[in-house]
Amino acid sequence: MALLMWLVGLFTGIAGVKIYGWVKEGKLECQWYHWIIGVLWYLLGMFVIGFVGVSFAEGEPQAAGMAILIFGGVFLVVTVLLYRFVFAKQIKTAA
Amino acid sequence: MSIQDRGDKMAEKQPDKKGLTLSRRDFLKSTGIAGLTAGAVGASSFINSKPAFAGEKTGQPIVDFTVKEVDQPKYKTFFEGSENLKRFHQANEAFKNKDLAKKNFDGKPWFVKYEETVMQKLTMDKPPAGYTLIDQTLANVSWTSYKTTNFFSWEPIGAANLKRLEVVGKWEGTPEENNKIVKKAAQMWGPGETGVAEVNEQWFYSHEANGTPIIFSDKHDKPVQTKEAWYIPKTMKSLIVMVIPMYEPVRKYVPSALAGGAVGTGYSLMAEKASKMAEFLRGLGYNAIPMGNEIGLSVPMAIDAGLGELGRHGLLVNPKWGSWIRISKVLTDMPIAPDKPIDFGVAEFCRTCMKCAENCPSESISFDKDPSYEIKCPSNNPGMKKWYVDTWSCLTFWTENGAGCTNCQGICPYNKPHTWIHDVVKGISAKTTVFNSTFAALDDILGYGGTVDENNPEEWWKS
Repeated sequence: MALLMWLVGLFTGIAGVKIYGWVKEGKLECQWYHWIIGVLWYLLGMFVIGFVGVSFAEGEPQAAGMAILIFGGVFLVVTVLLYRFVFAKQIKTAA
Repeated sequence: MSIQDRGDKMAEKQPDKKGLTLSRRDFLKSTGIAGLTAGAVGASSFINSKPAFAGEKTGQPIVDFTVKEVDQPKYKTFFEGSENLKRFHQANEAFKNKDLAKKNFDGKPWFVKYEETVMQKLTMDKPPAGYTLIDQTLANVSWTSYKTTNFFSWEPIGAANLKRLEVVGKWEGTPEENNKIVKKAAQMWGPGETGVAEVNEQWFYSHEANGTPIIFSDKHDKPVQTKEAWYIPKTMKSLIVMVIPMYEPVRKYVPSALAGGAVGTGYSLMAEKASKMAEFLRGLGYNAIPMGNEIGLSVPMAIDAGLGELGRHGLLVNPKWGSWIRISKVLTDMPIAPDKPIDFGVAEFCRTCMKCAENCPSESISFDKDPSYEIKCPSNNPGMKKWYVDTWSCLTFWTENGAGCTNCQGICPYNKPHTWIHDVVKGISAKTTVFNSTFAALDDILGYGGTVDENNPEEWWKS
């Protein structure tokens, strides 16, 4: 448990430093609302994975499946919207 | 050149341009890291999700952020008229009621007809899963401690050495110390919760099942059972109530005989814990009467002791263990500081959630949104505004089922284990009723709380 929490801190830290670096280097231009949307997206993702994991642990596979379908679906939609309307505008591609 | 490479090259060529120069690769990397973090959190939840009944701390105060202590129990604030209830004659309960026996059981005790159904199912070419000989036998023997021993004796049974008291005298702790001591002692004897209430004589039967009056007496200094009456000294003012969780893995097979094994095991634990508590108190120099379902009404006593709320199904809902529980009690003259009743939104949730009523095979549980004074059968104690349960049709179903029915207990949404998902839902529900209908609907959609109709009891034997 302690190791896992440590890993959570580690990965969150790496992600935070990485994003901060991009912002500082000018690779990523973040408005204040981008941060809010990003944090909400991150929490939603954790919620989905946590819910599914716990449901399996409880012996409730149907709850896990429905959670993937409902909450996972919402997460997917938010991810697509986030990518489409926030990041896609800023990503340079060779299109 | 790959698309990724082309993208990276384009980004390198335009370093000064405002706006994002984040490559798709970097984006994927960052989302990957976030995903890994999310996964780790999920995994930690997975490990943390050990069900509460599998060795969690017990005997601790159960009040946490989802539960608030209140001055008045909910049966006085949400429900009404509890003060009108007269002490109940135990012979009037469905199990003992002669009118019900005449009406539905050919004048015989209910268990005669029950056994006929058991045998009818056992002699089928293929007995239904959950009602086979191994299921029925397991269910029967699970009651061993309750039915074959003298655990509920009003007299010392010899486990405590009372001679020591002649030398050292009785234990003299403060009421607050004693509250902690009895809870810690109960913790040693198995999972569950313990609370203490001041005696309310209203919850004690006026007469036990065979018609002997139960009298609170100021002329007795010890509890005495005679043929004429059972005398409880008025000095016995403290009531210790213990909630005992039932064996969880068979809950989803209600109302089969296999699930009945959990009930029998719960009863046996009731007997053992009540007996040990009573003998513990005697060993400290005090009188004690251990009680199962007899002598008094367990549900209001448990509510008074801060162990839960009254649900739509007429049973106790405990914040940690839900409804898949049993209750035993010990009456004593040890001075013990009482606990306060609690409120965690059960009555309000029950208004919206009809799950126990929907899953009651005999339609014995009310579908009325709000409580009412209308009784459902002659075994109800009239005068209170609550959700009355038709205990006659309930028991009649038992006899037709060939096993006791615990659907209402097994299906209750509060039975969920102690994980962050359910703690959050319970917490929100305790604070506001706004989301109750959503939570009740989600409980169905997510497939919680099935019965033997959806689950095959053979799986338990094979697991």
